[in-house]
Amino acid sequence: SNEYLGDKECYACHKDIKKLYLGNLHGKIFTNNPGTSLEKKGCEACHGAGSAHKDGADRADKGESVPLAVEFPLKKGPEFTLENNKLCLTCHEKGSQAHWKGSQHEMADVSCVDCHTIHTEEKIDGTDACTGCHEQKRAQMQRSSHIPLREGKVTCSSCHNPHGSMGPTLLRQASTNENCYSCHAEKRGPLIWEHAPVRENCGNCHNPHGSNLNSLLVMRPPYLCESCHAMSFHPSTIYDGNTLAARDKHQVGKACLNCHPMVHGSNHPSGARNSR
Amino acid sequence: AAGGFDGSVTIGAGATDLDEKSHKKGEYDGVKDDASRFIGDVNLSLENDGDYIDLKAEDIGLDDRSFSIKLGNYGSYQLHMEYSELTHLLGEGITPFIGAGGDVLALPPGFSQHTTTSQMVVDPQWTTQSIDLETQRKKASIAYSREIGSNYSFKLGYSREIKEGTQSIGGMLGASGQFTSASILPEPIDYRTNDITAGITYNGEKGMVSIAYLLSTFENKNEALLWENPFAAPGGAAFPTDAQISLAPDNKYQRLSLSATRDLTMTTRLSLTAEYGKMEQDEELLPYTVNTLIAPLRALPRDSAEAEIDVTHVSLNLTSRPTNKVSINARYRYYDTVNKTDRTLFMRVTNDTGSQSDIANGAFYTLPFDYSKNSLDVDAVYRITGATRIKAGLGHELTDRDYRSAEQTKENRYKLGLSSRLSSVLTAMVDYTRAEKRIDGGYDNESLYNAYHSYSSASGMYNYSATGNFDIHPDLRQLDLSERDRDSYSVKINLFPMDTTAVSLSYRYRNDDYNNSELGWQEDRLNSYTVDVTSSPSKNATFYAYYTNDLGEKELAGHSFTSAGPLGTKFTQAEDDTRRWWSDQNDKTDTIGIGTSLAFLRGQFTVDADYIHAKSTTEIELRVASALPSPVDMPDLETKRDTVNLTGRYKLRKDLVLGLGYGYEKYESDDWATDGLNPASGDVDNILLLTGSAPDYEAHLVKLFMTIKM
Repeated sequence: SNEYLGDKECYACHKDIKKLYLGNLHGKIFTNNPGTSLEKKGCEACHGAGSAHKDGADRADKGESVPLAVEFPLKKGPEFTLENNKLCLTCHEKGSQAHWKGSQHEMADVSCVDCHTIHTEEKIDGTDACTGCHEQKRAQMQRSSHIPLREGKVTCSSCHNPHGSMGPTLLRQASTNENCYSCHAEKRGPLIWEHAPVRENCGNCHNPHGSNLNSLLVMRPPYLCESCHAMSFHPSTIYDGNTLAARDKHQVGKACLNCHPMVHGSNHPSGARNSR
Repeated sequence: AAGGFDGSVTIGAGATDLDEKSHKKGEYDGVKDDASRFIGDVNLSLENDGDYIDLKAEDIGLDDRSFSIKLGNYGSYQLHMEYSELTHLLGEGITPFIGAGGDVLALPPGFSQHTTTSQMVVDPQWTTQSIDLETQRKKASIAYSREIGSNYSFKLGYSREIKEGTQSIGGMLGASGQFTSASILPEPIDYRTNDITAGITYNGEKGMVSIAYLLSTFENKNEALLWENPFAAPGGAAFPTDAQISLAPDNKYQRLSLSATRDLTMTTRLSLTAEYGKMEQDEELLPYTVNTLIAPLRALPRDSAEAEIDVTHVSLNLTSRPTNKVSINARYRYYDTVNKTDRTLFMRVTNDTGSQSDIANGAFYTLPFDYSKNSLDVDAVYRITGATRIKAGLGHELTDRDYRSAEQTKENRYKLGLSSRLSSVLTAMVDYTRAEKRIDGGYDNESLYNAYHSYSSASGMYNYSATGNFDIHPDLRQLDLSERDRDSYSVKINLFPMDTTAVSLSYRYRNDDYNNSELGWQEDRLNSYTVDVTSSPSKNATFYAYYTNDLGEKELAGHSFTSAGPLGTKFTQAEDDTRRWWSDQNDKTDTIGIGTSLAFLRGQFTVDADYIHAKSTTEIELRVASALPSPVDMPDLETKRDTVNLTGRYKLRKDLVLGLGYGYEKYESDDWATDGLNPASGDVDNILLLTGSAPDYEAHLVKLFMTIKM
């Protein structure tokens, strides 16, 4: 029968792993303050009872040709993702991982160890771990207009929960705007003059992952504003190289925002046209 | 480490040499000019019998420094205190306004109002000052979490962020679009945001329940910005001496959240999130105008904003794996906002200019916009073999809106995908999604017009005719409301020619076809492909290289019309299809990344090298129908950045590493909106700009540091 032996038996052979294991959160909790009976098993919490493995190793040392029975290492290949993840989910299906099942990553057969290295003291980088698969986002964050992702001041996981969420596109909050308000509380309002597309989705005008255009915009004003404001006179005028040569006030400087700066809405009693 | 004292301290010095001062260089670290700086990073840990203290400090010598202290007992409790700063350099500018950073801006003493900026700059009293447009965030937070037994835990947290600085904002004078002038003003930023969070969680064998509360308050020290107006009226009504614009008002947000999961069977899990939030804003309202010549003013309809939006969110997720081959996920999401702010008629004074509006002329109702979304998505995966899987999905989303031209839109979504490990060295994935968004109930400008405009008789109501009682062209479909067919697919191939090398080829395509919009966005297309190579030929060497090419193409259709001339001109021109125009915006971006990490002398000497090239070009091409004069395409908008970073580390002793780094960065940009335009030269007649030097730069960075390991 296979029996649990305790960590010390493992350390006897796996000296390199011992150092890494005791340096990471698994080792620290399991050895210092195990909260469950499983955590009390230390290495064997994940690897399973070790006596058969030890017996095999002892016999191998004596020259016998025997398999080293152990539940780990993880099996390689996407067909084993479910099986491999199941082990981690034994403990990690609560807190910020509570919504893993059914998440976009889970349904895409992403494996826990695609992003996480178990036997390491180093913490995962909340951006690098993502850009390995999300190449287009990696390129977008190099664009001129960007949030400080590439500077490391925010990470993908500042906005997204890769382990699953109840918001759209794995966002930590329930909506795109609520996510944006986390850092931009001044945009939260509400205001007496609301700008409806702004209230509904910041992403109507901004691309948070990076843009070639200032302020993370998806289109350059005045054309962005003209996408919705086709009204007589200046909102419907075609602005081109000729008008630019004449330094038209709707193109230079802040373009439409020279005169209508309150594009996120206004709280001024005379702010009907977002100019106050 | 297993216990005791552990960690590292890095100290050193760095120097930056810039060919010219540039806010873009120091956008997020504050290094915008030639400067030397202290390098300091700390990462220390003290442990004893499961108790620990972790100290961490990063970028101590920069304006984006951060400090963190964690203390607690593993698996039991943690107290986390953190302080961080983040700078954001926005630009430099030249302005005649005195008092930047405050909420009152004055002109130089004796300065007279002028009709154009070219007249201003020859005024004997014209003087300017350079100002930095930048903000700085300083955030302190404290959080305490504790495990109670093996089933319960709770968290308490508090954070306070101060954001200070100056950014730019437009301030307009003039009552009609034709006769307006604007000053770009230094806007004071002095924000305080306080967040309090509390939560308790129960974790059982078959699920969890969590309840959380958030209180977030935002305070702006500046309610409004008052400025002395430099412009005389180019026509129409006289311009006032002073003008005032509102700034972001104080607000408060509260949210109560319930999150729960339950394993119904060994293979089926139900998840629920239910949230109720309340956004409130009750700032005292500013007067209609600060123009003392407009009197007596009608009273405001109320003293304060009394604005409130309530948010309800419910998500249900049911996921099951009835067999090892099949996964099914069904997700229902309900997100509802209820705007409780009263719809109110405000007798506005347009831009502190002219007379106060009345019911028959120019007064508008506020529109308490709100919306709700109901969506249901079902996805299924079937594993044909261990290495091959197909997936399919269906989704439906219903969006209801108040005070929009389309009050209901429906979207149907269809998804298909196939992925396979074709061999031990080759995997491939293909995904296709189609989404069809349709307006339900018609596109209706009339209701919105009548809800927004005030009118004293029926003759003032919406009427798309020669009376001109319409504003938005009826053929326009606004960006977020328009009917749209979205087709997107992606292909990805991973090759593993050797155990140590991976090659990835990926292609993404998305096309949004707004086929039922005569005006507005017509198409929005994206083509993106990436080649990615990573290799680790030995434990002492890793390499990576990637290239991404993005091409975004957007087509916008417009219709030029005016109401100048006899009654009916507006309608006649709106009906005239020869007044159409089209704008094509093409965003082309190339991004290259190359890097390596090498170790020599059994790891005693390491070198890291990275190179990034990012180049973008935005072309805006214009076309017109026969009634409009031939257009000239806009100049290209361009940005180009090359960055090189080299860092060498030599392990002098087991506990001491010496490091030397060199960085090079060159940034070039062309922007027709600001390049070469200077407020001091009166370049733009009716806009007093706040532009400054171009952001282009060439920078060299050298750093010398040592890391002491404990």
